[in-house]
Amino acid sequence: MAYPYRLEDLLALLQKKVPTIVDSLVTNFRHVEHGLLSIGLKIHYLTTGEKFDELIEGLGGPAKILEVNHYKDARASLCLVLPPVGSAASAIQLIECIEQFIQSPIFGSAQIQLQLCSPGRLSARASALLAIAFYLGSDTLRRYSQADLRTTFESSVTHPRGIRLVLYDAGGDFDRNFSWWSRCGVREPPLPFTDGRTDLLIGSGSRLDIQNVNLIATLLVHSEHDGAWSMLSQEFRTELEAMLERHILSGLLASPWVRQSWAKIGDDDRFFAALQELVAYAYGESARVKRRRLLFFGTWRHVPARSPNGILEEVQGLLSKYRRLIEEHSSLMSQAGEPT
Amino acid sequence: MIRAHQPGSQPIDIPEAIPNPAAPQPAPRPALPLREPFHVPTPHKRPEKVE
Repeated sequence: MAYPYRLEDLLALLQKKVPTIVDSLVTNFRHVEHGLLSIGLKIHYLTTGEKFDELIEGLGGPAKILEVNHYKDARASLCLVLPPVGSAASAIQLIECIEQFIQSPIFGSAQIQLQLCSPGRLSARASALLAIAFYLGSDTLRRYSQADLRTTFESSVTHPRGIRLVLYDAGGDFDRNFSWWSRCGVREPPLPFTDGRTDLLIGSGSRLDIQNVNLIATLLVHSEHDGAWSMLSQEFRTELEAMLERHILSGLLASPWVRQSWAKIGDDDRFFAALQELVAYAYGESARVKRRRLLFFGTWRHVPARSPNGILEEVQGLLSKYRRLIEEHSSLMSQAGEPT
Repeated sequence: MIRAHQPGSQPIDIPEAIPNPAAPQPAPRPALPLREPFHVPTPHKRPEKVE
């Protein structure tokens, strides 16, 4: 991840047009909430246009900001890499500021693919859980094509990433200066990884996606790096895997959701077949929920699903349960006077 | 949108993205706080001098 500028430079630029939101970001952007991970963002802009010109010029021009970064969505005209921030709330605020600066939406835009970056490389199985939980928990069910997931590093000689939803980093800058909540109660920088990230190329994204990916990635990273939430995260993994088992989807976990160094020929297609199976199941669930509501009410109406046991509802329940547990535990730890 | 068709069944259109019926509805976004309007002082009218 190459971003040859500081977040402070970006905020100073944004402050000229969006002073009200930027003020709180300036003071809080390194603040970590409830021991969750910091977040990095990449904005892939799929069409050509001038929307980002003023922003990029203000940061130093395309040669300094864009051309140093060889990585982007294969269809994108530019990939703007944002420096990481401490929390999902700050990441959302940062995007809202940029939306106002460029006077165009980023959330929910079909022209923009968001990439969410979490520190720490997850194992292959945890990467699969991250992608599946993100997909089922999102407020939009997407039907991907392989073209949506192609990047300029698909067949890179040094850092091949394949055609995947989950991508490892390819070296570059890594900001460790965010608090890490360790299992022994220490809550201070730096992060316990000298480098390494696990990214999700989510496509057209939302605020909820950022919050969910931040929560899921934190749980999975803590389970693999002995963080403060490692006990909770083991329970989360167990529940998520049991849910996939109940829905006869646990076979998806064996697919190569992230490209490992030992990847085999055909892994891109094996992953994509698994993703298509997940998408088909989720679309089917969505249709089933709608049909059931049609039976209940006699007429079609848009109401929140209250499905008994549908996987979409179960994932929402799981995410809200662990979000609440983390918030409760972190406030208990703070009351107990553990170091902050 | 793609059209899926199996022999013997009605073709169906599959959209590229659909809302997740189980996801929480996003809360309405609060309007951005308005900046304080500039108060332009009304010109003080001096009482005319009575000579």
